[in-house]
Amino acid sequence: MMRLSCYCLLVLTLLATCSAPSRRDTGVRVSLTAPDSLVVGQPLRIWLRADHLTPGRPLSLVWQTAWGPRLLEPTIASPAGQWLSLPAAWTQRSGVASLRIWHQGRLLASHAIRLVPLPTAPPLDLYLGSKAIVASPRYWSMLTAIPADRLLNPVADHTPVLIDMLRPNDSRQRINTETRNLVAYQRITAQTKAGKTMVGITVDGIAGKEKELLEVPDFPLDFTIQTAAFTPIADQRQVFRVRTSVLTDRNRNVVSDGTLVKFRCEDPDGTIRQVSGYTLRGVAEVALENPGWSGRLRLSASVFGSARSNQLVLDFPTSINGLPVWIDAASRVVQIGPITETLGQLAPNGLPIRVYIDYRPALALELTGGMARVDLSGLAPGQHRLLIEAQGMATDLTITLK
Amino acid sequence: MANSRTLLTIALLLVLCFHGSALFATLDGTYDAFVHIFFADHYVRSWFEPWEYRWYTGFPLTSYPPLAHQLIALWSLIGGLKFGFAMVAMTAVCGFVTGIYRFSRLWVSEQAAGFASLFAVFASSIVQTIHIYGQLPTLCGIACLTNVLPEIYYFVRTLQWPRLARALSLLGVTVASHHVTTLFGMVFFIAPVMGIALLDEVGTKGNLLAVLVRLIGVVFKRLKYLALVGGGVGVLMITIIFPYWYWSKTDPITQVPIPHGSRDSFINVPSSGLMFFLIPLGTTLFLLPYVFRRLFVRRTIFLALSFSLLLLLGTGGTTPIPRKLLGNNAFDILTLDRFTFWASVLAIPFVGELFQRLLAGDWKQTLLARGHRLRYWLLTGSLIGMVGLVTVLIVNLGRIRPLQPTTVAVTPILNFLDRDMHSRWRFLTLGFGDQMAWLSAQTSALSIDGNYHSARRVIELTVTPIERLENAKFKGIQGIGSLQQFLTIPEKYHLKFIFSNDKFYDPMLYFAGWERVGRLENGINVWQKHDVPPLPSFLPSKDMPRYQKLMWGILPVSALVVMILTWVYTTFWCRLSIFPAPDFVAQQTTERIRRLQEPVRQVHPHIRRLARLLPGKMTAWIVWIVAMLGLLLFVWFKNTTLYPQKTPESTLRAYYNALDFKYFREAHSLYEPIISFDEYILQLSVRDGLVASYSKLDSLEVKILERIGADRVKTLVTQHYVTPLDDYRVETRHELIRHDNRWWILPTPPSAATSPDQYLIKGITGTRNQGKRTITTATTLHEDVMDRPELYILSASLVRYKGRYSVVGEVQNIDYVPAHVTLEAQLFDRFKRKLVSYNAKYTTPHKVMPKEIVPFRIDFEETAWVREDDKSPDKFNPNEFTAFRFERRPVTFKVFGRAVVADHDLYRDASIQAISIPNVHQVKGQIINQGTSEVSVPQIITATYNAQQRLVWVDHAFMPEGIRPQHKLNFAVPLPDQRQIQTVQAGTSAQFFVNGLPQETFRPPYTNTSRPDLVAMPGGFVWLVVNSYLGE
Repeated sequence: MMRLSCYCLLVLTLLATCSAPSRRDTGVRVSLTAPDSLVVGQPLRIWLRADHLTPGRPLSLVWQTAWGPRLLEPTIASPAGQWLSLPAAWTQRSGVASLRIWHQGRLLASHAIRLVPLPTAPPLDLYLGSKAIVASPRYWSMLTAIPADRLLNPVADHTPVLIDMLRPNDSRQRINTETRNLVAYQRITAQTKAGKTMVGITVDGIAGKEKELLEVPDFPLDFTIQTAAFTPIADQRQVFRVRTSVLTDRNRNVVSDGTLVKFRCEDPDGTIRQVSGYTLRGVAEVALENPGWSGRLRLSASVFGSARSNQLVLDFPTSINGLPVWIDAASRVVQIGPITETLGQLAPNGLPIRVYIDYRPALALELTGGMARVDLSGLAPGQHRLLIEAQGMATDLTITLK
Repeated sequence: MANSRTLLTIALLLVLCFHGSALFATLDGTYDAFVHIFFADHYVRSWFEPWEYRWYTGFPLTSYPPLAHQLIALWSLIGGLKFGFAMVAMTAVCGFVTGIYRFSRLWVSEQAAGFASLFAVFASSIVQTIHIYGQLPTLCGIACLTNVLPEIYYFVRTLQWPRLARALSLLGVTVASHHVTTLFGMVFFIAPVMGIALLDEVGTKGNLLAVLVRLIGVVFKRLKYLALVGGGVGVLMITIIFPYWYWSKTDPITQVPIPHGSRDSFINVPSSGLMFFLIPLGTTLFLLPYVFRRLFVRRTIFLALSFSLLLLLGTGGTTPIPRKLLGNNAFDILTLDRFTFWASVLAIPFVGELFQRLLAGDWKQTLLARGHRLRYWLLTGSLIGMVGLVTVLIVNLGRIRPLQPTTVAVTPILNFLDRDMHSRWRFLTLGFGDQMAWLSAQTSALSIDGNYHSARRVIELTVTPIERLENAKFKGIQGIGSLQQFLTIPEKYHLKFIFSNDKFYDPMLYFAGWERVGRLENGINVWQKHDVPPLPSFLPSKDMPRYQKLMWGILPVSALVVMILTWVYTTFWCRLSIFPAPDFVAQQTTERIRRLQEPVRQVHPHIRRLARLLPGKMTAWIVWIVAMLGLLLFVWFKNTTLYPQKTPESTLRAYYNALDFKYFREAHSLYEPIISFDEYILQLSVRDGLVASYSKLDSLEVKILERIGADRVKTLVTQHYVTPLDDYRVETRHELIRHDNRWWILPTPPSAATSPDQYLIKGITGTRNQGKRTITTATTLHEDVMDRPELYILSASLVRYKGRYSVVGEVQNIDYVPAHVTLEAQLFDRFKRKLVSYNAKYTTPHKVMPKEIVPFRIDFEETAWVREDDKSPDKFNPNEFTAFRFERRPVTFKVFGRAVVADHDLYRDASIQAISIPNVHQVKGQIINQGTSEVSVPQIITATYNAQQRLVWVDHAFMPEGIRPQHKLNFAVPLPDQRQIQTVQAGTSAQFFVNGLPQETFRPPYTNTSRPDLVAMPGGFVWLVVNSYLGE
């Protein structure tokens, strides 16, 4: 313990006796003459005179900008002083730079120089965002310009900027603004007509690239629906079309192509349809299969959140004249047909027919040439009940097999 | 007859002519050639940096001995990578043929050794290794080893130090090429050869006990020399590939063993037996009796034991013996075909001897002297013909039965990766086979997959037995399951592009939210995922000490240089012959052959008595050949159904098997011939959908419903199909009749339904996102980057159903352009600590039209089969789901919606009609396609609402069949039991984020939120959405 205390005391004593190395005054005096400002990209000429400097010993010249320091170590040959030139590559960036002369750890002289940007040069750096906004005064976009000189230094504050716009309603809009804190910016508020706003910008006579702002339609308002290409028969085969009126927003802009419209349909048999359609030139059209049951069909459409249509009511009468059935109990075959339609023609191939035998799950048949055939060979002898359905019509019969 | 050196020269010329020309035709179809080329490409790019970034998330190349790859790399500087591979392969085969010649001279006469070298050129195991497997390091290893063995033998016999120097220098090259060959070569090659050398030293004549005593004596006498050989090999093994041992010790990667056909029971899986046993043995299989008889003599007893053991181990899982011998661990890791390969190599000298005796030796003289000219030429011709036939079959096996997908031209893919900085993301190939390695070798772009499973580091891969994601479909649920995880959260791996060469995966990609970019010139479909961040500039790598990098880059090639110098020195300065005169060997061999020629009765009285009970020599040969032919016939019989129309069941099974493998002619041949093939194929061609186009038949059940007389039956066939998205049970009724003693399927009449319209005309919205509007390689201009479409999350809730947590909700595209939407949910515990995040997978349409609302459900999965108590499923189940196991209860959540402009896959012409809800558990309806394209895979998304129209659950179902225009498909999908769904938290706008911004900062675009489109049901509402995948 004693030994440890001695060591600590010794260490503390040594620390106390140490002191920072003193910067010795070498007696060197420097006078520095330099301009207060300089246009970027120019070589900087400075006058430097050093007194009491050992001949051949260099000075440290530190050129400090926001991008970092650069070092030059000139030797002053003449006691009367001499001109020094800093290369143009050092003065490329605008802003405040400082020039400091050091010698053996002592700052001998310093000077601040303002580097002034060159006039605006192409290309103009322009940004527009959002690139698409709803054509309603509630929405706006921002145009930002960062004019710069040929060395990419932002131009001086208060540089005038002219923004010229051609709006979707063919009006011209000119806005004069100026750069502040390196940039010029302008809100572009949407108008009410959908379309493209073309934006041009000029700074110091330098023209910028064309910019575009899309002003797009808002949510649509209520609309109407109506039928097109409508064959009113409940044959579960033909297709009828339902078309909306032109969907527009509150400013009468036709909605964008691809806007989804949902159709809801209640069929005569109580089932529902959910059909999607999308707009093309503002009109959505969907194809719907004619119902399989005669009766009344109700149809409406909507765009979620904003628009609804009227309800369309359509009547579909049955298409077939009846369900004639022939039973051949001996060969255990039931012939259905010929099934004809209202014009006397045969019902089309593929017409679905459902046959329920003794309340079992339906046997699905298809009509071919107006006829369908039920094979009863698998049934046990005895009495059986047959229910035959097609197009909402039904024939119920009982047969006895031996 | 030519002398042995001439035969060797002819053999070497044949190597260059035959293998040299055939290799360029077979290279693309081999399994491993491209992997080795890829490794070589790494050394071309960075010789001294073993870390390879391009596969997985990076792996060290110190995991594989480098010499063969480094030599390819050096040759590639002259003529490219394939040229380099061919040059090294040719050198290796020439080395092997020379090695066989030198090795054979230890056992057989000089001339027989010449014949052995000729046979080595066409030995089926060698042909298979080059032209099917492309296993260059194995070939280099065996080429060196066969040259080492004579040197070891002569060293043990003569104790000449230059012999040891030669042996060790060559073993150094063996180690640097293929360490496994060296390890097992010590046991199966070097040890027996040393034993025989010692046996030769003491002589084999006399009493067995006396021989043994003499042998033990000489072993002790030369123990230090033997130890020197063993020690030298050990030092070489450790030194030359030290970084390999260091890697395997310090970076052990626990992996699930990958199944390999060589471990199958060859009786149960005849195709594995063919590939891993019959083909490598080839003609040798028929000549095994001679090889055994020749080996099982006192002098070569050690070699005989080694050969027998190798042959036994090569039988894989056919018997339990290999597993017991190797132990479970080694058995599950090793590929056992290598044992068959080594066995076939050991047999070559003796097969060569057989040919020598037949073509230029005693057999020829005897047969011709006895006037059996025809028998002689028949025997000779059939043997040589068999060797030729087997060789031709092996070389063309890839054409007869494709082992790899057809060659993919990689240039368009490379151009795509180079374009627009696409290489800043990882890519994945699907259906490329081993060509993915060739693609990787051509680019610096990174793939999340790889073709070197030993070094996989991605946890999703190492916990499953899949070799690579690229062929996931062949690995059932574990393959598809792993792939699904990569597809669902590709952001985790910076995976943005998928090159698909197999349409099987396309529906899965589509429904997982990937966008089809288009086809390249080579027919490869490109898919991309939006919103995946590019790879960081600096990727993590596991650095290794500098000295190891230098060792890896310098020592293997130095081993080769040292070997060459040693051989030059010992040959020219020490006057050591490369082909030493094997006087003592030849003498013993001649003696051995003489004894072989002696009648059995002269061998031993006891054996003579026993031999009387055995069939004669010729009969034994016939029995053996018939047995082998019978074995081949059995394999063939197992693979094909000889007589499928014996019963209705076998007829239907054969029919569905043929359909499954797309053997349409075979399937049609089982129909009653009243339907032409053209009509049959036409009926099939109009079918599409998951089951018809993207499925694999898993099981089949045939039930006889009714027998009508003896020759007519009605059947019900229940098929179970698995697809990338779902599994399906399909029931089909068939009627069969019997005539000509065969059962025939009666064709089912096709639907007679006719579409209402002949010609469909429909206005559609065409979309295209042009990307860069100026043709330039520069970065995309600001004005060419479209704004992200705005989304609005209408609602979202954290729910618990059947023990799993999910986030369900609805999102609307409120912008003016279609959106491709990615939805992510994060769950938090009550202290706001994040528990998990996951993306919506199948239960949402990822493409959303302007103003469209879509429901979504996000489930939370974790990497499957990571935990010890996890059991991998035995059967393929596409619906397998590994729910995230929460250690803390989630109580709150956030939903993040991101969108980019979509311009593909916006089909909305499939809609739903005839919706009815027969009970609270089911909704029925019909999907009708009123558009102009066929929907290949329709998906129904069911959103269930409670009585207050609040969304409580979202589910989906993939329809098994496609739908042609103006056609319909019935469906019935289940509805959830709402009482079991517990809403943990109903989210508010503060929890929703859209395109990186909180949704709270937006004003809702409307106030009217009524839902007239919902369908009422008891206790709530239901809403159905169709999501259509259009195939190509």
